Amino acid sequence: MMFLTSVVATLVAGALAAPEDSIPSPSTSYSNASAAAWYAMPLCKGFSIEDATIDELQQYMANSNLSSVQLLYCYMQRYYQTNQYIK
Amino acid sequence: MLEINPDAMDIAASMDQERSQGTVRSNLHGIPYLVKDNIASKDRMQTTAGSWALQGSIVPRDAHVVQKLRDAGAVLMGKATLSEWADMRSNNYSEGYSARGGQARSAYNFTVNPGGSSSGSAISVANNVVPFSLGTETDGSVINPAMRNAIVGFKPTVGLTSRAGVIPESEHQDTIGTFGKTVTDAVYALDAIYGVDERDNYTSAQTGKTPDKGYAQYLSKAEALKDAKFGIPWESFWKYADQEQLDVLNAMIEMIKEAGATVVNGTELPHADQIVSPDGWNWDYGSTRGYPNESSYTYIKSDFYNNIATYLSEVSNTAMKSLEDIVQYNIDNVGTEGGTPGIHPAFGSGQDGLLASLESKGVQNETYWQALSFCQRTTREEGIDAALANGGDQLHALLIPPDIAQSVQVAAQAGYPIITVPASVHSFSNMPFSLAVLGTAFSEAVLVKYASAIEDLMVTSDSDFQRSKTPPTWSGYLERNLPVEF
Repeated sequence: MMFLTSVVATLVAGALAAPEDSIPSPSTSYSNASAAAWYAMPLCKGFSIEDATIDELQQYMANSNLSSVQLLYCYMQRYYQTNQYIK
Repeated sequence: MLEINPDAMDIAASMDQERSQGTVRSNLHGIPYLVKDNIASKDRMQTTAGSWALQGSIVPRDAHVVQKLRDAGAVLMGKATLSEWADMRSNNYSEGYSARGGQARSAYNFTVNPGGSSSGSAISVANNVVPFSLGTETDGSVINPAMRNAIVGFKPTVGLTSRAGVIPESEHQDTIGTFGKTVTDAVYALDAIYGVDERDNYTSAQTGKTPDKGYAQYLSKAEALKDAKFGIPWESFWKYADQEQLDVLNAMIEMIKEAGATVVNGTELPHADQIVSPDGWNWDYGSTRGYPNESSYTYIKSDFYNNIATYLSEVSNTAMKSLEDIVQYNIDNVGTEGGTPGIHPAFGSGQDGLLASLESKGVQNETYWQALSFCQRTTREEGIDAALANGGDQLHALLIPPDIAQSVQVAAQAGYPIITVPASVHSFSNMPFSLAVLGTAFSEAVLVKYASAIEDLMVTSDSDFQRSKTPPTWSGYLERNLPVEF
């Protein structure tokens, strides 16, 4: 976990940080919806990558909508969100 | 996921820099992925097959498939969890469990077998943790977890993807496969990793049998089904499927026929009664019948003994040099590795699989060669190829229900390719099942053409038989039973 913390710190503070506008305000209210609902994947810098195909992800990168670093950042967030359940 | 790659952000940043300078290496450039923890990476991550016995071990180099993905510009995000030793260690065990990784669970049902042994590779793709991943298969370990998580699994012909740098089970059946949410994604991954490798002489068999520019060129729309001819080995496999599954798969086959395909029922494997266990998955069915010299387990357990020693001979910073060392480690560390029966909840039978291999001493005696010869002959020319020949009216591929594990086992023994297309879920378990396309050796182009056409048909017709209609339900997500129900 020490390592994970340092990756996040690097992301926020370092040269690889996602642009400010891609960091949403932390949500402070969570619904009481069922697991299947709160497991939904958040947008990645405003773009939907839930169930995105590789072609769609390439299009995002080709259009400069998302960088590979931002994409990795969003998948890492997804890992933090789900791994305690699915491993 | 078992481990995160400390270098992932740097790799992604360098891929972004390359792209900004106008270089896009491939359609995987900048795309994150995972590999199963038995696939070596020469970096700051472990390669352990989930076992503490290999903690800290240093591999000589990247696995060939990892090196090829680095060359393609993909971003190695980490290692996926798995069934320890890819299920070689025990014959009564909790699928998806490893000492290092804990119990992997499917988001469709947390309490049951999540599919394995490439459990994490499939679960991570199904849950959008990565867009694609790699797994390995000896006897169902790509196809089964792909099916049970409603994604596409592509298990190529043995010899299409190099096993160099991969913790082995059996050189005769091991192959590296790919996972994606769509046929296209799984094919992009395969295109990046296949090829001849001097460190795995089985890969020379593909020479002259692979396309110049990869398999993606064969991706097709539903119209491609017009000239398709498929076989249904009903007596060999299909008759074992449950009614709910049959109703769904039959409805899909009706759609495939309406799209113009010819579907021939009753294209059987001549030796089905000798090679298809009536009681489900059984890789020692020959011995069950009283004929160890007709059983795949006979050569697999000898191969493991020899192949693991070869793998370990190039690995440093570990006391593990042989199967004997691993078995002793599991006994010395019985609390974590469950080396004796009845101690560890995930390893009910202890390490009986490793012990069976140990007992073989890797000997390649007459029984070994007879078993190998029998299994290859009855699954290849007198098996799948005979069914495809269809009495002279040659078929393109067989359609099989991969939930009937024996169908996948026969393909594993033949070393022949399979690709799965998600179908629906079982109402009693919420767990997904698939339709699969099975072909002869190195017929991946045919499989890509028709699996993508079937997928396109199911999606464009807005049928109920597609991944998007059966999202994970997180059933039982508050439970943590161990072992999981099989």
